[in-house]
Amino acid sequence: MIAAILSMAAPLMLAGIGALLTELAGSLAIFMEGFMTLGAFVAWTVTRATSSAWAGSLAAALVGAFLAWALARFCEKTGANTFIAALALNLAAAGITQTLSIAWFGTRGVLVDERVPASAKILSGIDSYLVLAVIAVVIIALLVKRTHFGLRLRAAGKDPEALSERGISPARYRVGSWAAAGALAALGGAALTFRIGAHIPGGVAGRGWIALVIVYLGFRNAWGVLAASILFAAAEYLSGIVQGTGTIPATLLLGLPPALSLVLFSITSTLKNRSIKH
Amino acid sequence: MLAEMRDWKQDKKRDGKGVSRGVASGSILALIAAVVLSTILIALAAENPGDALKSFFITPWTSLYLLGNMMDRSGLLIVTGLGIALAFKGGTFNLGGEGQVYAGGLAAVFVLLHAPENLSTPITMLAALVVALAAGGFLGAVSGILKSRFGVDELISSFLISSTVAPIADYLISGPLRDPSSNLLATARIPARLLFPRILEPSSMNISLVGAVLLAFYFAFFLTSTATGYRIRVAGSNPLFARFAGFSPSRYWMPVMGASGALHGMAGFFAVAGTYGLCHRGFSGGIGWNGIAVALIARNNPVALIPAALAFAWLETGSSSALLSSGLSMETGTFIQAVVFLLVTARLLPLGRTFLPVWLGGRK
Repeated sequence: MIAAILSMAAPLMLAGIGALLTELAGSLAIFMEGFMTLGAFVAWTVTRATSSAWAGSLAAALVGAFLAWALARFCEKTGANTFIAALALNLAAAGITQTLSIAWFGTRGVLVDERVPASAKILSGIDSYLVLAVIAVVIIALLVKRTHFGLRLRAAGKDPEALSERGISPARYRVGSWAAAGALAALGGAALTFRIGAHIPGGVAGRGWIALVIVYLGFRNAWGVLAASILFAAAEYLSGIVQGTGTIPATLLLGLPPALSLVLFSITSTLKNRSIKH
Repeated sequence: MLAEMRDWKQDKKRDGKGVSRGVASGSILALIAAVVLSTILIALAAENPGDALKSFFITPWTSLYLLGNMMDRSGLLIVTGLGIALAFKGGTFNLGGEGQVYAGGLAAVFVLLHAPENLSTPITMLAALVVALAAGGFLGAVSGILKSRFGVDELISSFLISSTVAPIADYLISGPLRDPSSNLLATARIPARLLFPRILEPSSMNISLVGAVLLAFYFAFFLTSTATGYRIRVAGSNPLFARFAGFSPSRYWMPVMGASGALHGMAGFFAVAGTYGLCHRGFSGGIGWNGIAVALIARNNPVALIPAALAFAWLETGSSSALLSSGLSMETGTFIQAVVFLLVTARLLPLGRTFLPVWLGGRK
């Protein structure tokens, strides 16, 4: 059971830690849902073509990083609203994957192929993507808290003027954080694909939005993101069990993750604001 | 204080001219880009590009049926666009439109189906409207209260509320409220006497369109010529100044989010009692998101919403008729939305000028 919950937490950890970077750098990227969708599809497609899950994962990360970088540069250059531009990506991602799925594989349904394996188990049955996710969280936690780079990243969010006065461009950190977030979200999407070894359209199912909630739920802290991801994964696991018993209609259960997110998000926001006031 | 206020207003006006010109060109560029992209997509995807493009550009204007449907659609987009624009003006961002439209429509259908037979038509319709406004308004107001009382970000909370409500509505429509005698995942049909009179049979255009247009003009008046409207705009555009003028900008968050939700609920009512005649699963699809696109194109100007909604409705109708005629299925709708969202807030002119020669107005 714990292994199942932890492997469900891996995609949330990856996307959550990416969203945390953008939040710390001063402009939360709400495109996580879109990049998870794209990442899940790219990972499946490239793995099928190359028979290598490594290549699939790498391709997903690169596509995510490049597109997010381009989007961030576009916003910097034109002064476009970052929320609305990121929303554009969320909307486009679903359309792009569906159109490409029809064009390349002739279906908009579930994609299965023997060349795309379910995630490899390493270290006596631990999901390889879980290892990747935990490593990502640890690296980013240390990077943000313990390095000059992390200090500047946080300064870009908290006090951009101070950073510019020292001759460092806060915009570069913002753009960089978006690129990293794009890559991490795409890896999170890839993790969803490899967990079952298939691509399910719409399989991201709001996890990209939950990743944003996880940032606040974890009090904008990398370890908090880790804990919040596991909490949501546990809820997902439980709702899977409840669905199995058939006592509550499956459609209704789809509303559970956002409802839980809303409650937890409201509580953490309230606590945070209380502590600031005192 | 009053003198200060007047100064600020004039400043705003002076600035306003230059800004609004640049801004209008941004909206028009975004629309042109959306048209060009749809044209390319359709031409690439269709086996017979000539026919497909004809049904994209010309058919919607020549067939009264499509024209009527297009006008009907634009009416719904005006109302949701108004909701989005009002929230924007008051300094909030309503991302829960889809769920609010869904809830409003479902609540209205419930009233229309269960009202006593002997109740007169206008009163029943009025009751349905009130219930739809209340359902959508409640969802919006919750986000507003969470923001002003507890500092919860309304962009995320409104989206989460919408995502919670949609599955519940899906469940109600496919379960308890479903019409068992029909194969559709939908409620029973609303009695004909409780539908908005159609204007252009057999299209779905109906008198709710008139209501939508009047509402746009009313909000233009409300925002520019009433004290409350003025305060909402100040609270949204310059919260610090609002504090100097003696009122807290957060006071308006709950009312504008509530009103925004109520307008979405009204669009849901218009859709079920005007367009569809019943409430089917997922009927709100796109009305909420496209409302955001339309409000962005119109730069939150209520009267400008009318042409913006019409343009957007044409893009939707045209692209779907082109895809139908070429027998393809593709999500052009999402691409159009995406392009509009990407470009509409961008200042492309300065970017473009870096690529132009100096004698054409390029940057040195």
